[in-house]
Amino acid sequence: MSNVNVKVRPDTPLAHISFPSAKQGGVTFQERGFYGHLTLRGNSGDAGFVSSVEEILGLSLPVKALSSASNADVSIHWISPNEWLIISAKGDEAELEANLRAKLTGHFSVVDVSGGQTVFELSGDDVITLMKKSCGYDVEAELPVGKTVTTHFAKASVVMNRLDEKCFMLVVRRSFSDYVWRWIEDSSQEFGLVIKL
Amino acid sequence: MSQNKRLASGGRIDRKKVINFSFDGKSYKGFEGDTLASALLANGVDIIARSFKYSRPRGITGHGSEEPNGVIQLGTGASTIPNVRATQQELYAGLVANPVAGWPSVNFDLMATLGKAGAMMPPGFYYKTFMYPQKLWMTYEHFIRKAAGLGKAPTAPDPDTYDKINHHCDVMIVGAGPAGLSAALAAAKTGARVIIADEQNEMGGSLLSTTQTIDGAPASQWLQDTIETLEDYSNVIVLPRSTVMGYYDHNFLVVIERRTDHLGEISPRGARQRMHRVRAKQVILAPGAQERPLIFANNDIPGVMLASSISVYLNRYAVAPGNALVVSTANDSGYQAAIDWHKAGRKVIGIADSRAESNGELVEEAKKLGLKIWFSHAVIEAKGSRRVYAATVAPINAEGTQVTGASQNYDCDIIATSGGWSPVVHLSCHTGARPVWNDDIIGFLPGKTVQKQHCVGSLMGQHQLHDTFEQGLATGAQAACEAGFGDGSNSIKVPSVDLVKTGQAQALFLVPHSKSVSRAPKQFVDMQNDVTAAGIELATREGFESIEHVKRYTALGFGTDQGKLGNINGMAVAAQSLNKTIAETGTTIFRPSYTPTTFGAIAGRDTDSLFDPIRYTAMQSWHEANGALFEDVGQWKRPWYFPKPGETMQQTLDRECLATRNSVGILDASTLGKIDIQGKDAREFLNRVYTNAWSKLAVGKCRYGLMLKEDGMIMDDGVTSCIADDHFILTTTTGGAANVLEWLELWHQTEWPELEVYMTSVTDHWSTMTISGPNSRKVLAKVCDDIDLDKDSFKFMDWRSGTVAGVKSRVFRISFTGELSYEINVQANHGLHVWEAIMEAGKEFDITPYGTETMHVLRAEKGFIIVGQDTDGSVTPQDMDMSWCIGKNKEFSFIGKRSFTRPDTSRTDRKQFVGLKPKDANVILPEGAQAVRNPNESIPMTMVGHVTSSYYSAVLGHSFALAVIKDGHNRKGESVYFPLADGRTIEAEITDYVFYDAKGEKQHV
Repeated sequence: MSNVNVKVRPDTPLAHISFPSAKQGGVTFQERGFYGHLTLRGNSGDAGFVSSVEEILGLSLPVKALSSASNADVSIHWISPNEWLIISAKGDEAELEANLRAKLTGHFSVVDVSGGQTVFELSGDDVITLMKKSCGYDVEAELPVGKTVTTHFAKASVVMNRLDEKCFMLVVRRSFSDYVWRWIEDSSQEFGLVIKL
Repeated sequence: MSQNKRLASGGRIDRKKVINFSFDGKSYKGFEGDTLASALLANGVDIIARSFKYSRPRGITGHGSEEPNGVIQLGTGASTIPNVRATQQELYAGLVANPVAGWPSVNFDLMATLGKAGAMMPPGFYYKTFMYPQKLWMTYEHFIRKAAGLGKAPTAPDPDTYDKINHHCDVMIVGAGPAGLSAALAAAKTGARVIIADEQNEMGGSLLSTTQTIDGAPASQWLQDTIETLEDYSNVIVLPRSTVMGYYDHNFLVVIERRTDHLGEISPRGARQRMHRVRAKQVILAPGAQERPLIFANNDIPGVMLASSISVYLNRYAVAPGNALVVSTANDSGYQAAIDWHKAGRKVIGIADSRAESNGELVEEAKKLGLKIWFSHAVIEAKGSRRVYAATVAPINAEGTQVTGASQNYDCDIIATSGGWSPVVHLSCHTGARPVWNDDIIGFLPGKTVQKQHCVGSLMGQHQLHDTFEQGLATGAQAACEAGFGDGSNSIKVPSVDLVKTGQAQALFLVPHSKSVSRAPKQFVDMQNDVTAAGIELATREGFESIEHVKRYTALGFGTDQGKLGNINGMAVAAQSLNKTIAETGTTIFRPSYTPTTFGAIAGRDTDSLFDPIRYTAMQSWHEANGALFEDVGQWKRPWYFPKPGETMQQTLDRECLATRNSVGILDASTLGKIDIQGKDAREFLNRVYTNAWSKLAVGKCRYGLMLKEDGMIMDDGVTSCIADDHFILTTTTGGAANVLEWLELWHQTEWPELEVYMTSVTDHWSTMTISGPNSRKVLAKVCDDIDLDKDSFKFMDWRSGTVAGVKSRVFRISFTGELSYEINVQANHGLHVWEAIMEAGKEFDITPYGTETMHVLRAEKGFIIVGQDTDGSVTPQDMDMSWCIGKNKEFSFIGKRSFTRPDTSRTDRKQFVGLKPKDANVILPEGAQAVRNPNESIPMTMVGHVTSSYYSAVLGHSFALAVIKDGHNRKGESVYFPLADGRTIEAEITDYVFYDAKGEKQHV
């Protein structure tokens, strides 16, 4: 380990933003920075792969298209027939990656993408209208709580999951996060935007 | 004389709320609830516009989106809107409107005085003019636009904002008249998601001006109850002031909601208009029918109006736009105008009915009221110029083709005309269904469609209110059922409405005149484009027999009104002229947009900085704070260069280049595409997608790779590093990242699915900073003590993992400058921190940040290519003198290899990559300049290549360039010449493409 004496200071993708300070509004925004993000690839037909993932995450692997599983700290989202996104609120991606690599066998890959994406949470009474202004997916009827879709939000590609009736999670690529934030700030003007830090 | 045409009582206006507005520079007053048209009529304003070709005075003709004449310029300055229909513009305080045509004013039109432009513009004018003399077109067009006026676009940016919203619904209902509203009631009751949109400010359609009762009460009561009921449903979205402008495949509809157009010229709150993008499971079209005017001589004089419009102005707006009325009709509904006119206390001169008789109720009522009726007669001509003063009424034959006796003039100041009702088939056409003529309803009905679509109400020729309610309710329930809601049966009671007995209507379009069509005064078919019956006859005589050709030749239906009043009449005139039936002639197809749509609504919020995503690296705030100017590379913002105060761009580049060559520079390279590749077959996969060999690349080593398309042309390049035996990290050009990943996935998924390999983009995960220059090792050593940086243990083209500024890093010793270089990759959340730590550590070496421009110069001095700049999709590795990068003995082959033996790729006179040294050391060749061997050759000269990159080199002390020149590899030392557009000819010597450190020693130090 290095002896170079520097105090390490990480920044979320929105670290440069001066957030507005409104206390009331129809939409609430929160950046969930510093979560751990891992892209897992593998064969869901391989019982060993499925059981190993379940053992390490404590969650059953969502093999049904567009589904997800979660507990208090970790969620895992179906992205494609052989791809999942693991998000950990504890930021323990290095440990998770090591555990997965130690346990998994055969053809698989685990990639740490924690620096490359961030999580935005949108909630509030007007959040549905905001979502409708921002994407073409039928969030009212086709996105029940727990479903995960990869779609667009304005002109950015996002992974979207409904956390609650009036709460959505967007996984946004780091380089697009400023754009997505500015879009949200702009399109929520008519409702008022509250920032949760 | 304020509002001298306003009735004392009645109407859906609020007389307590007076609104001031101006038109053509004069001030007027209207009431809340007025449209601009109703307020102008209330004030006795006859002339709203001058016609396009003939500059004739024109007044209000209709009362809705069909209006061809009452088209105005709304507002002033940046927020002005051209071609607004006065009949659809709600009045607001301070509204400023002006005519779109007529100069200096509509009341004194210079053009009309000097001679009518129309004399110069016969049908087919555009085509005849385009053909000969072509060079005059610009002159004509300028003249036409200024003289005739087509509205003026604002010249300043629009101060308003617009936005968009997406909807998914089960049943989308277009039109909120009796049919649409009853359909909505039935569909809403099932719990289906329903959207109902109507273009008017108030929903209700014909119910807004009808005198019929519903359930024994005025229609307005049912209307109010119904709208309240619909608004109370949480599953219903009610959109008034919302025009469905387009109906596209898969039941996708675009609705433009005018949210604030009725409040002022500039929106007082939020988006002025909102585009609703609706994806509907079922669509119910209930747009109603449009009354068709009869065509007769001088039918464009102000005071000639649609019969139904007269009822609307009387009953809805309490305006009687005249005193003495003559009606010309071919059906019963024309009588309604006369009855309403009479009941408003105005004088009905008479009703000319082209039919011999009618036993309809309205006819009976008119008789009872003692109104004068002339059966087998029609108005054949209007008299007047700025306002109607008389109607010429003549007897006509039963077929409506000939005047059979002497005509008589009747003094009047208003003529109502009704030729029947044309179903509004526009939206049904948008998805490609061709309307079908129906003799029973004397109109076109929607054609067969593949959409999940239902049509109700007068769109289907249904004009009995009772039947419309019954059908609307049944269709609403049926559509909901087909979308998965309810059992398809309607449980709502059909409102009680009396049936109105009607007589048989006559199919009359062009009213005969005592003179022939070509001799009679102008009989206007399409008023907005000044298309006359004579013009259409001329077109058919000149051989335009297809209705589509007639349309284009005459400009029939080409106006901003899409010929809503004129089209069917035009078809009829053409059919008659061709001796065909209308069914045989057919109709043209309507296309979106139903009414003009502002560009703002189409753009929405995708404007300015939200037009396209702007992608930033983690170090963006540092770049901005340190004065960087930026260059767009794909969607990325990359620092271009970092000027210091007072520096020219060249001075900045010289400083940045020399600092890197002599000490150390730093570049943000985070935007390079990075793809993580894992799996036991990763090496073999790389062997197949790259030209060179990867089987033996050891862990900890890096290698440059060249990627080709199947045609053997260079597609991308970058350095790939071996992380573990089954794990590689591949880099791509900034702009090529997404394409390369898709390309790799395509080959993997379709051609080589048996290879066990997974690819994941990690471009955003890593922040990448390159420190380059002789002092870069010393800088790195200050922030990293767990990597042995010794030149023999950490060699050129090695990579190591370690800790930089306290952060876990991958450090790659690769170089795009030819200098000793380290590319430091850290998790992007730490990018800014590590960058700042390196800047701090580099202070003593005057570490200099540089951008893409200096990067380009430094790599060009070394002859390193940039894919997309020095290559353009038509160059092979051999052309670029990169045969060294091609694996000769790969087991499987690689993409593009076979194309090397194509005759075209193996010929020897291809353009080849070389350096250029201008004879004048200070002249920088323009990139893209074409090379010739003989500067004195006459034009067209023989071009032998072009400049791909060109700069001034501070370290060399002269300008230089990279180029592709035919047979260049064999012609080093020869001169080529660059004749430029500015007259200069620049001479340059063909050289090797490596200008600096030809032996490549510096990157190994």
